[in-house]
Amino acid sequence: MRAWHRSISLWRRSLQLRVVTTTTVFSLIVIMVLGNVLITRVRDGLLVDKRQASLAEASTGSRTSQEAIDSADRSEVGVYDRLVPDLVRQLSKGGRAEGSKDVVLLRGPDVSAPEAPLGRSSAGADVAAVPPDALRARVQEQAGQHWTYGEVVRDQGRTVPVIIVGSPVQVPGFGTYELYFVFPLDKEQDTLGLVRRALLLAAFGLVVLVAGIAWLVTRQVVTPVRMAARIAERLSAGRLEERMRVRGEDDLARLAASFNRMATSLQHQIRQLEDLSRVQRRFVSDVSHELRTPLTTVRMAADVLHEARGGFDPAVERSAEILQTQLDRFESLLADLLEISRYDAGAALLDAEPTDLVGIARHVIEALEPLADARGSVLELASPDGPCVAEVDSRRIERILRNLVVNAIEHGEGQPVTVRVESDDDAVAVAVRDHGVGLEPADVSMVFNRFWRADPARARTTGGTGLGLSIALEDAHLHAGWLQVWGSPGDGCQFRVTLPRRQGEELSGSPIPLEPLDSARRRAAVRAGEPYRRVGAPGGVDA
Amino acid sequence: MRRVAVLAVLLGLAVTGCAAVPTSGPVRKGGDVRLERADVAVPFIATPPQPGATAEEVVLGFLRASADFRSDHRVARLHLAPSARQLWRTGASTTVYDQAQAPLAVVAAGATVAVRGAEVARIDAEGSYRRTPSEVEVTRSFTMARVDGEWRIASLEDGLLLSLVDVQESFRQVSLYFLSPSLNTLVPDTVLLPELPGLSTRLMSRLLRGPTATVRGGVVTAFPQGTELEVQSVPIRDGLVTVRLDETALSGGDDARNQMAAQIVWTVKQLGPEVERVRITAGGRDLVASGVPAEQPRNSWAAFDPNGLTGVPSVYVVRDGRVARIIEARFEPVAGGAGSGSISLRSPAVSLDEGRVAVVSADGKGMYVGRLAADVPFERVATGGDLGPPSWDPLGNLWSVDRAGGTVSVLAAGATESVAVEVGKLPGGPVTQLALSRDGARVALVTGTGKAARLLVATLRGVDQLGTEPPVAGQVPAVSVQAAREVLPDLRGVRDVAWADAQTLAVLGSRGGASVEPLYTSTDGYQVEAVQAEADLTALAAAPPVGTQISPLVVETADGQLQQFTSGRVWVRLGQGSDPAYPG
Repeated sequence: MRAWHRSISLWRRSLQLRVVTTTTVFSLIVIMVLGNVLITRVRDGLLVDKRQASLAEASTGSRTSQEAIDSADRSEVGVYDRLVPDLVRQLSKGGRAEGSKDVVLLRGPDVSAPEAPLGRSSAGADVAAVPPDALRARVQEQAGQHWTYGEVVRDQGRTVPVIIVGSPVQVPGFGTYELYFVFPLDKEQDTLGLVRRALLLAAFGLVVLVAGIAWLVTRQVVTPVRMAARIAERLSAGRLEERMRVRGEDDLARLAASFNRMATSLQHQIRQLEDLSRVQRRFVSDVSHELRTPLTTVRMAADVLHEARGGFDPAVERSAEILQTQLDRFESLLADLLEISRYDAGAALLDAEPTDLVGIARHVIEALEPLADARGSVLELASPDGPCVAEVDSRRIERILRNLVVNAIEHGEGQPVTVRVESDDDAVAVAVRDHGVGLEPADVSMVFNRFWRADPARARTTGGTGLGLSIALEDAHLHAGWLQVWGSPGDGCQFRVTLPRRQGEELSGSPIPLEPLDSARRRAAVRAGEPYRRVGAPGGVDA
Repeated sequence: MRRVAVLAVLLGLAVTGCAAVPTSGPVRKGGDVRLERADVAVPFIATPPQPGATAEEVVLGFLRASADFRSDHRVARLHLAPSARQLWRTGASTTVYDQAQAPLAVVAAGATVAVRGAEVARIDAEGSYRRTPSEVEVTRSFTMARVDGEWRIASLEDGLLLSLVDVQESFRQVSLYFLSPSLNTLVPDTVLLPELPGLSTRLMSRLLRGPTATVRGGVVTAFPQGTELEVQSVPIRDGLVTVRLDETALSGGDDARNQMAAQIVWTVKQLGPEVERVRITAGGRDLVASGVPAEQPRNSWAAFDPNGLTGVPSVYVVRDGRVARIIEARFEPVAGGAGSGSISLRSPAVSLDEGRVAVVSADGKGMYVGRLAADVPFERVATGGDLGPPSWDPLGNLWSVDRAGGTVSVLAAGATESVAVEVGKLPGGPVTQLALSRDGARVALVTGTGKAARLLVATLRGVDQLGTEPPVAGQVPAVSVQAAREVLPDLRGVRDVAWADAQTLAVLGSRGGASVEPLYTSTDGYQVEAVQAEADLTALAAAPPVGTQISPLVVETADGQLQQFTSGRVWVRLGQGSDPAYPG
C-alpha cells in the first residue's frame, strides 16, 4: 500500500515517467496488434501454400495409386497384398512437397471379402485411427477429394498438426478403398514459431527503443523545465540573481534565454520598485520628521490660543478648540506614520520578556474606560484566573490591544465589548469582540490595509488615524503571531491576536476560536441541534 | 501500471494464442480427383461350373476356363474339389493342343475322365513357346469326385491344357529385350504372356527376371543383380509408361543406365501404339544418364535396334560371276574385286555397314573378303571343301560353314585365322548353312541336306571373346552354339534361310511334305506365315523394314531368275541372277 502510494505520487509528479509509460504502453499495444495481424497473415499464407501443395500431391498420389492398382498384374493371386504395402511406402516417399508424409489405405465399408487386401499405413501406426471419423464418412459417401486439419501423435509422444486428405480408390475385384494422405505441418509450425520468436524479439527491441527514445526526449525537455522550476523557486525565494544555464540554440535554449531575460527584467523591476518604495518610505519618514518641528511650533501657538480661548468670542473660541483637537489628531497621525515607516524600513526591534497578558488587557481596559463611557459601551474582561504569560514586547502588545479595543469601541455602537484572554501550552490569545455593524465577508481581508474604511462615506471624525490596525498587524507579525478578524454583518466582529508563548516558536493553533461562540450562526446551529461546524480562516486553524 | 501489465499479458497471449497451426477443423472439399480408369479389357472371362453338370461337362468347362488367367485361374479352380484347388500348380508348363488337327476326345470311365488331343506345342514355365514334333498325342486324365452333390475334379496333373485357339486368344507374344554380349545391340527374347490388364507390369517383371533358357548365355542384361520393381505395377497414362525400379538399379553407371533404358523402352513399347513415352525411376529418382530426357520417347535408343541396319539395305546378287547390287531394278556391279569378275564367285555376304563383302569361290574352296571400294584387292581368308554362304555379325566377325565337314568357323574382325565354333550334336546332322541374326547373338542353322534339311535356331556363346586376347596364351576362345532348337519340327527340305527381322526368319522349305515355299516364322515357330510362290525357288534374301521402307523378299528361282515379293503381295521379276543377299 505504501509502495502503491509512493508510485502513484511518483506518477503524478514525474512528467517523464508518465510520457515514457504511456508511449511504451501505446507502442506495445500497436506492436502487439500489428504482430498478431502479421503472424496470422503469415500462418494463413503458409497454410494455404501447404494445403494447395498437399491437395495437389494427394491428387497426384490418388491418381498414381489408382493407375498402379489398375495396372497390377491381374494374373497372379494376392497381387494387391504385395502391391498395397509397396504402393503405400512409395507414395509416402515420393512427391514434391517438402518433408515426409504418411499414407493410409483403408478398407471401405463395402469391402467384405476375407482375401481382400488389408488396410495399410506407411507410419505403421494404428491404421484406422489416423483419419477422423467425419472425414471417413465424407470420403465414403462422396467421390472426390476431402480434407481436414487434424493432429497425430508422432514418436516420443509428440503431437504434430497435420492436413489429412482423403479420396476413394477402386480395387478391382474387392471394392472401394479409402486412401488418406497425412501431411505433417510441423515445418509450418516451426516456421511460425520462428517468425513469432523473431517478432517477439523485434517487438521487445522496438518497445525498449521507443521507451528509450521517449525517456531521452522527455529528459531533454524535462531537464530544462525542472531547472526552470528550480530557478523559479529560487527567484521566488528572493534570490533574484539566479539564472538558467543556456546551452545550444534550440527551443529549450531559447526558453532558458527568455526565462533568464524575464528574470533579469523582473529583478530589474523589483529593484526599481524596491528603490521606489525605499524612496517613498524615506520620503514619508522625512516628511513626518520635517513636519514635526513646525508642528511643535504650531502646537505651542495653538496651546497658547487654547489657553486663552476664554477671552475670545464664541466663534473664535470654537475655532481654537477645533484647532486643538485636529492638532492632537495630526500629532497621533504623525506618530503612527513614523511608527509604520519604521516597520517599513525594517527598523522595528522586538524587546521581548515574559509578560502577563491578562495584566496588559486589564490595564488597557482601565485606560479606555473613559472613552467607552463616552460611547456608551461597557468593557468586559474575560480571563482565566491565573496569569497568561508569554514572551512578548509589552509596549507593542499594549498598543495592539489598545488599537483593537479602540476600534471595537468605535464600531461597537454602544454595545458591550468583551476582551477575552486564553492560553494553552504553546500560545496565548487575546480576542476583542464587539457587537457592532460587523463586516462584510469581502471586507475581512481589507481590514488591515492602511487607511482602509468600511464605509468610505463615513467621516473620519472619530477614532484613530486609519493606521492602527496596520500597525497592530505589523506588531503581531513581529512576534511571529497572528492577527485575524472574524466578522458578520449585523453580528459584530471579533479580532484575535495569537502569540507564541516563547519567542522563536511557530504557532500551530490558537486557544480561542476565531468565530466567537456567541455568534448568531453558532447559536442558531446549536439550537437546531446541528453538529459543530468548522469555519475556515486564513492562516489559522480553530482549536 | 498494474492495468498496463495485465493488458500487455493479455495481448501477449493473443499474439501467441490466435496464430497457431490448427489441429482440427471441418471437413472440406478438395480438388477433383479425376481417376481416368483404363477400360479393363479381359480377353476371356470364364464361367464357373453350372449346377448339375456332368463330369465331362465339368472337365470341358475346366479346360475352357483354364484360358482365364485372372487371379491364378480362380474360375478354373472353381471346377476343382476344394482339396485340389490349392494343390494344382498351373505355372509348370502349358500343353497346347490343336482342335483343328484332331478334336478333343473326352472319355468318361467311372470316376475318371480322360481327354485326348493332338499336341502342337508346349509353353514352358518361362513362357517360351516350343513346337512339339508332329503326330504327338496328349492325354490327360482327371479323377472326379462329388462335392456337395456336384462333380468336381479331385485330382489332375499340374500345368495347363489349352487349345491353340485359346492360346491365341489369351496370350500375347512379346519380346523381352536383352543385350548382346557386346552391349551395343538389343536381342529379343520372345515369350508368350497372358493378355490381361497389368500386362505392362508382368512384362517389366519378366524383363527384370532375366532371359529365358532360349537365349540365356548368349545375352546379358544391364539390370544389376536383384533389381526389382519398387511397386508391382507399371501404369500407362496419357501415353506415358512409368517404370519404377528400386534403388538397386542406381548402382550402374551412365552406360548401364542407357542400356537399361534401351531394354525397357524397347520392351514396353510393344504394349501398343498408345505407348508414347517411358519414364524410368529408381528409388524415386529418375534413372537417366546425362543428356537423356526423363520421359523418353518410344523411338529412343534406335542405336540399340536389334535389326542392326542403319540405312535402307540394298540387295546384292551374283550375275555373271560378279557381285552386283540391284538399284532401282538395275544391276550394278559393285566396286572392288567382287565386282570385277576376276574370279568366279558365289554366295556373297555384305557386312551390315555395307563396307565389306565376303564371297565364296564358285568351286567352294576359298573364301575371299574385300572392301566394297575400287582398286582394293580380294584377300583369301579361308579355305575349305565346300564352303557355304558366309554371314557377318554386327561386330564384323565373319561366320562360315564348310559343308564338306559340317564345321562352323568364325573369322574375328581384324583376325587372320578362323576359329572353330563348337556346335555339338544337332538334330538333322551336320550344319550345312548358317545365317547370323543381325544382333549377332543368335544363329539360324540348316542341318542335313536335301529333303531332310531342317531349320534350327541357336544362341551363340562366347562371341564377346572374339578379337580379344585369349585368357591363356595359345588357348583358342571358346565360341559355341547353344540351345539349338528346331523352329518348325514339321519343316523339311530347307534350302535357304535369312533373318527377316530380329524375331522372324524367312525360310525356304516345305511343311508336312508340301512343296517348297517361302515361309515367315517367328524364331519360336509360334507365328508362321507362308508366301505363295509361283516357281520352284532355291534361295532367298530378307531384311527388316527400315522406317516405313519395306525391304522386299528376294528369291532365286530354279531357272536362275530373281524375283521380289513386293509390298503389294505380288512377285516381280528382277532379271537373271543368283544368290541374293541383304547385308548381314
